[in-house]
Amino acid sequence: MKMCRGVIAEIREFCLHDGPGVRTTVFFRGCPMRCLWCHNPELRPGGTEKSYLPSEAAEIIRRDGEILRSSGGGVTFSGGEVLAQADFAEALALELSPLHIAVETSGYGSKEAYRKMLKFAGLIYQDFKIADEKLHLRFTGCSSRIILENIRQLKLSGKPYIIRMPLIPGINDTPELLQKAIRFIQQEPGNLQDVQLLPYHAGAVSKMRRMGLPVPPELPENDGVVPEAIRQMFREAFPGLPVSMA
Amino acid sequence: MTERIEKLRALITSGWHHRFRRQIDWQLDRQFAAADVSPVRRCAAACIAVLDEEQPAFIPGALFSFMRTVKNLPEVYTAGEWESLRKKYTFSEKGVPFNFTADYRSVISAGLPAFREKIVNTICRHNGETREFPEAALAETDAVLNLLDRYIAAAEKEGLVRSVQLLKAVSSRAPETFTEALQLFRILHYSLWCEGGYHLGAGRLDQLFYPYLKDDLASGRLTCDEALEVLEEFFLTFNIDSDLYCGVQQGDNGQSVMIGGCDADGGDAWNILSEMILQASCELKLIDPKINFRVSRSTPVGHLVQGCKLTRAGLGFPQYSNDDVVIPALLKWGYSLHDARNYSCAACWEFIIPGAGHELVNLDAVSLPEAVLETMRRTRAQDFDGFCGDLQSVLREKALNLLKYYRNIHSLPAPLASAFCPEALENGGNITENGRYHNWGIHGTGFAVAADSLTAIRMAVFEMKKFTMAGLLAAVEENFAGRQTDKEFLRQLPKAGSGHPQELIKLAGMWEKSWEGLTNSQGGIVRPGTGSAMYYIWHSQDFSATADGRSAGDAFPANFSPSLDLPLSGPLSIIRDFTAPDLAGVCNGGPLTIELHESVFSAKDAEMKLAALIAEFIRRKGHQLQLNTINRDTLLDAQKHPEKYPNLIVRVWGWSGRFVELDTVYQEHIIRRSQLSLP
Repeated sequence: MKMCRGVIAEIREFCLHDGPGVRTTVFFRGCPMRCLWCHNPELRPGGTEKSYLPSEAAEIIRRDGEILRSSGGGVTFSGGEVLAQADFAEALALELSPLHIAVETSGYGSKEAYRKMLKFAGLIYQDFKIADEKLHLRFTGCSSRIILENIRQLKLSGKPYIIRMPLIPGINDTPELLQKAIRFIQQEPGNLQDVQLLPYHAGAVSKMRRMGLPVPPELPENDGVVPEAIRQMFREAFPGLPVSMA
Repeated sequence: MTERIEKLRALITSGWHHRFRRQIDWQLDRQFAAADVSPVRRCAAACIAVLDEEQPAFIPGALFSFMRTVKNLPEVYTAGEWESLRKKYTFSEKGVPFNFTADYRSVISAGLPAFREKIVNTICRHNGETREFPEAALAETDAVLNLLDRYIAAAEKEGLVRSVQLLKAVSSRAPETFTEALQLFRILHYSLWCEGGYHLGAGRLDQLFYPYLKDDLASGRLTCDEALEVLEEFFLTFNIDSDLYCGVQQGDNGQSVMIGGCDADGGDAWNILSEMILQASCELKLIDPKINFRVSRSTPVGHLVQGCKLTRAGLGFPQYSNDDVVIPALLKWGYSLHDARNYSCAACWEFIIPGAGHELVNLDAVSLPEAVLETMRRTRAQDFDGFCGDLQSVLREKALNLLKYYRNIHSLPAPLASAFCPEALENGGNITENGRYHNWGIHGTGFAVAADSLTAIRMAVFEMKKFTMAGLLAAVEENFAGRQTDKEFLRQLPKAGSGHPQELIKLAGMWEKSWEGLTNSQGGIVRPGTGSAMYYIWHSQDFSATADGRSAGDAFPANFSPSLDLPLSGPLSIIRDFTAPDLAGVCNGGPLTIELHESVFSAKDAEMKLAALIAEFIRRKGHQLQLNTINRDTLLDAQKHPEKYPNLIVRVWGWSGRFVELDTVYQEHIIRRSQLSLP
């Protein structure tokens, strides 16, 4: 394995919403996607970047090793995009072993990177953004093709995973798009644990303004809610799963 | 909560019973002065006068009796007499016994008649002067019994069959049931307040009442649900008169309960009543009684989870005390193993032994930032170690000065409270001088500000040489006027709570050492602590800026917590830093306080996760922990629209109060406390 440094935006302690137990979340800097509703534009490359050796990052995280272990928690790799620094992620996971590792990913990365990630991840939060290639390209700046391929890989891996769907009003929440997404997710779903629906959060808009970034006119100014009808649609499609809201 | 309890709760919180209250124009002090009555007889006569003036009154639907109908207590000395007394003696606060937990156990297990008999026997063993004390205690006890008789008669008249039965039982013999034991506790607690003592802790109620509850459950006299209802009504009684109790702010009345911990053999003392106490408190959502929870490395996670459910209720308790640190600390200070294992909290957080007398554990406080500033003025040190040596001398001087100031410490007699303490009764003396222990407690205020100032001095003066000591001192004394850049530079230096415990460790060591080998005028030692009481406001509001970049007049953090307005990484970093010192040396009491945003509870298994946080604190050997959940937006709105938030409860320093009843300075402080919202 190559000895590589990773660019990390933040190592955040005592995270309660990123997986089981008490977790430390590592925010990887840099993301190849440009989702219109991006919540963490500050994690795009640029500015002063702090890089770590895997052992250095692990040392910081391991200070809280006892509570992470005893609470049935662990470490969550988030971003940015973890797959964009797959070698570093793999090396860091190895350093942290046997702590439980969860990964939050868009799935946008090489097959090889995704395979590496699957080897060390104990739980995967896999985004599913838009079930239409053209719209996906338009609103995220990326093709959905390699994401879908990686999700197929994920399903075959047998690893427990959770699908996370952000619901952006007027962009990806039409019944047709959602049905199409459901059909894809349902197909030989492997070890699917949950489909989480993420209501639109207008915080992204104010953040963009604060950072002096242009605000896309398509983005609503107010927080969204997950309509009961949509939740019901998913409940029916995935009987036995909680279909929670994050 | 049953419908009956809900109704009672509504009546009590609405102040329905205030209709029975009246103000009395007491003139006793003048009469005492004119007749030159002795101090002991004055205090007893005042208490008896109150009890005699009391008129039995009942809250509809209530089982437990006894409430205050006399609003104000009499003065025992005239202003002129006080003036000459204060020339002769030093008094702590109001000069009466306060901040202690009486030995309810011995009185309740004996019952009122046997308790009275014990006082009579004591009188017979004494002669002359030492008789005065037990005689006064007897007269007060008789006034309590007399009031009890009047309550029985009034209850009979009103046809309150169950109350009559209950009151007759406790007046004639030792309690035999859970309900009887609770009724007797209510009478005793009420009477001690009538005697004028204040900040009266309740002690280890799960240990005290468990034998009664166990019998009731085993014999089928009570079901668990019925027991919970009785307990909830008992908890309501702590809120009947509490607005009449004195304190710095409403809510600061010391009615704290301790649960959990270990038994006399060191085994786990947790029982079904410990659990019920948490549940009752959770359901009632009232500021009294405050719950303290003794924990250790062997506390099962399930118990911590139950504690976290109460934290979720947002009442600002339970407060956790770590047996693994506190018991060894008490042993080191000379407490017996039996007593150390039986520790409780006095009122806020000071560790005391219930029933072992009255220790002045809340005597005074030293402003640690002031000691650092004084050292800056006096030092000629060439390196940081030299500076710390000078600080140690300043702290020692302050310790010696305090001992000198309090060498004539005196307290008014409290014969009834003293009769509750076996040693005091036996000696025929006041609880303040005749208890088992005579140690004092001194708080160290502004711990984090002082530690952060030390860090700034080490780095900016001795390592980076950015300032000379004189230059830094000038900047501080001028409140950084025209030196905004210097202030900002100092603000961004490492601070305790974000991964820099070094100076916290050093300061705790120095604070401990400043009291080493000293004896107080009562023959005890002095226990340094990490609490602040209200001094975090009092010591800071007229105080200079500090070397950590804090502005003049800016508040210190309450108790043992990070400085205000810091960018903090999270509760684990705070816990790591604030458990790094050897806390057994500074263990008078004073919790690390962490304010979490209430949204933590939206997480899945949130209570489990918070329980893990508490377990981490215990494992790292923290001594005392206060976890609060607050929502800054709610607090800001409550300042604007107090009428919308009559029952919004917050933790202030060692107690909980209704936010809208606090003075603005305390409200503002709570709003500013770092509130960690967790992702």
